Amino acid sequence: MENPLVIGAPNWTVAQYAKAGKAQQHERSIRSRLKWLPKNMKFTLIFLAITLSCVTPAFSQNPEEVAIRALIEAETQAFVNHSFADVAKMFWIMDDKTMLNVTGPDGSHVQILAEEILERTDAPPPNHAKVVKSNFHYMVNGNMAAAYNDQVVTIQETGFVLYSSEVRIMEKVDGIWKIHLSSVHHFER
Amino acid sequence: MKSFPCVLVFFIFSTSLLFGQSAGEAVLKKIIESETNAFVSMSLADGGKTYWLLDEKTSLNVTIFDGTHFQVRKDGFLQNTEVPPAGHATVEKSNFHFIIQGDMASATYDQMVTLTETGGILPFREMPIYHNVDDLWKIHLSLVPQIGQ
Repeated sequence: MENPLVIGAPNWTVAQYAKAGKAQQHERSIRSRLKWLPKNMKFTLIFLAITLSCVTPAFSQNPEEVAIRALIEAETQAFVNHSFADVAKMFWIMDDKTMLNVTGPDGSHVQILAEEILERTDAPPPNHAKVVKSNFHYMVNGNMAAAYNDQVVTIQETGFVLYSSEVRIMEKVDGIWKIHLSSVHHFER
Repeated sequence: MKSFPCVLVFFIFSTSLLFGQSAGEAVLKKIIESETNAFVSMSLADGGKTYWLLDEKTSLNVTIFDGTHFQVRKDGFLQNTEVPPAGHATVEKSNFHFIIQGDMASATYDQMVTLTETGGILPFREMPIYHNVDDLWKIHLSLVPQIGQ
């Protein structure tokens, strides 16, 4: 399975991730169609142009969903390499409603508010985990959105695999989606 | 007598402010309570039809720390017509937290479910997401993870 986190660099902005994500999606779309094209080059080009103009909109995601997906992927990539405090400063709204709820597979649970998030300044070892997300679904209503996804985290050193189901609540601030609340629930298979 | 409704509205508004709760939060809290009561006494299908927005985005996600994890979508709600035994559980909620923006809202709260027959206690930390449809808040997605005591 393709790792959705291979694009970008830790210092990329959400806009850069969104742009790269769109380009990657577009490239994949073209590649899958090229397999089926006849060898005649002239016909190929015409067919390609018509196919792209007709089919791409049908497969394209809602732009808000694309932006939200980019934010989530960027936040996860940052989480693998940076302290939680730094991740929050980059991707979160930090106020009295900010909250992270996490439950472990053993029933352990934490509820972290803005102040405590900013105290978590220890950075993890770089790329200590590989994260693959799937089963996204989005709810967007004006300047508020929610996204659900499943997640599989593999700890590089031990090979330990952790499964979770997640929901993030996001709000748009000055045209940019930010995370306001996140709920992450781990379970073992 | 005519002034009674005004006094009542003023009283509810003042009380909400006194407890640091907005009018929207008070409405959502009331819905959460009645949805839980329905959940204890109604089938999932009936509870879903009454309190949920049932469409292709609907999902109820339950995680139990024995490793059980399941996702119920719209069809799953409508197929689950079994009514639980009356009074099989009591539910207490605390630690409410709301985010409301226009016609969308989220809530988080802790919930202690006590099973009447065994006395067993199941703690959960829930997170429903709501949409306001025709002036009524409806649940569209909910996370229900069990937590340790």
